[in-house]
Amino acid sequence: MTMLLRLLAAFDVLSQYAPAFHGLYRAISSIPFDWAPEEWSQLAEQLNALFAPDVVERLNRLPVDALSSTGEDIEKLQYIQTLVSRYVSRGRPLTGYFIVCCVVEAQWTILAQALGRTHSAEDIASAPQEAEAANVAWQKLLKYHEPGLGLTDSKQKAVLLSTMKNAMQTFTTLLVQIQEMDSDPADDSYAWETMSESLVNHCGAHAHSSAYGLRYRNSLRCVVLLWASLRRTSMTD
Amino acid sequence: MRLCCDIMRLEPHVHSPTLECNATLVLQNLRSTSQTRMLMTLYPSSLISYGTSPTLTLISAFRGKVCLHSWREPAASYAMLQEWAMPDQLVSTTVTALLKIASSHPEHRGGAFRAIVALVTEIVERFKTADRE
Repeated sequence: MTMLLRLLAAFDVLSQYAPAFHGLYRAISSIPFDWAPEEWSQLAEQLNALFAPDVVERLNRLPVDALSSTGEDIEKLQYIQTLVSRYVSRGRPLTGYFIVCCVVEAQWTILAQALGRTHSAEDIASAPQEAEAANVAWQKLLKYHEPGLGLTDSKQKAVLLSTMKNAMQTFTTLLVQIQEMDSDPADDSYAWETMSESLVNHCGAHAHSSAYGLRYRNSLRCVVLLWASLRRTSMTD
Repeated sequence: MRLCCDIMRLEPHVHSPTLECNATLVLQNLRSTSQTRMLMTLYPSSLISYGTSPTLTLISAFRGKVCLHSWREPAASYAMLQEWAMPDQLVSTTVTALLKIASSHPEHRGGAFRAIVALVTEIVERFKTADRE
């Protein structure tokens, strides 16, 4: 398939589904909610499919295809290029890496709230803002040092394990990418620069760039939480 | 609302922040299921110009189940509404509404959660087959 045909075949993925997913991620990370462990498990099981390397690869390619295509269907192409540019300019490039970032943050935000239901959030100050749920959940974790009571259901434990594997893999990939950044930052610079620009601007920048810092922070939080949850969960066996 | 929908139908590629805001506010300020239905009948031909919309599934999964009167977005987040495309705003607003409804009306929690799961299922499926057809 040519680049344009490939793009047009996936037109609604970029124009509808990727923005829709971003909207879902924004709502989940912003709205504090007392998610139940079984709700986390059900959502995580589905979302885990988005860690698959072939899915990530395909989604990585689409925005690049969109911005570099020229062709017949001018109206559609203009539409998609405007949309993708707008998202890139706001630091959310709608690539596969970016989607994985959203998955990771949505998953740990839900899990942290599902496990920490018995912890009080009363003295954690927060104002309604973007990523409020994620911020409060993380502060609760820091305050109580334990994610909660752990999971007892065997299916939920299995989902927890596979989520842990995915998150570890993402984290490893990210570390490798950061190392490669040091030696060869110019390699395919568009993809490097935009593949995961910051999810939210309120987070402080980290080592190399805020984009990497934020991905690093998100993955790290996810891994820490999952690790603590797993430990807690196996203790209840 | 009709005016805003008409402009969007005629100019699908226009990404006017004002238009997006208005339409989002319309959705937020829905006061009854009859208005939700009206919106449902307007959206397919007007707001959603290309392809199918996950939002429609989400709204239709939940349609008729609840009144949205108890929920309103705080004015402070109005500025945030200008950032993103229509499907993004619609899903964010709708999921926010569903979560707030589920919090304040436990009897609707199951319905709200199923609507969110249906949305995730649809998006994940489409991502998995992105350019395969």
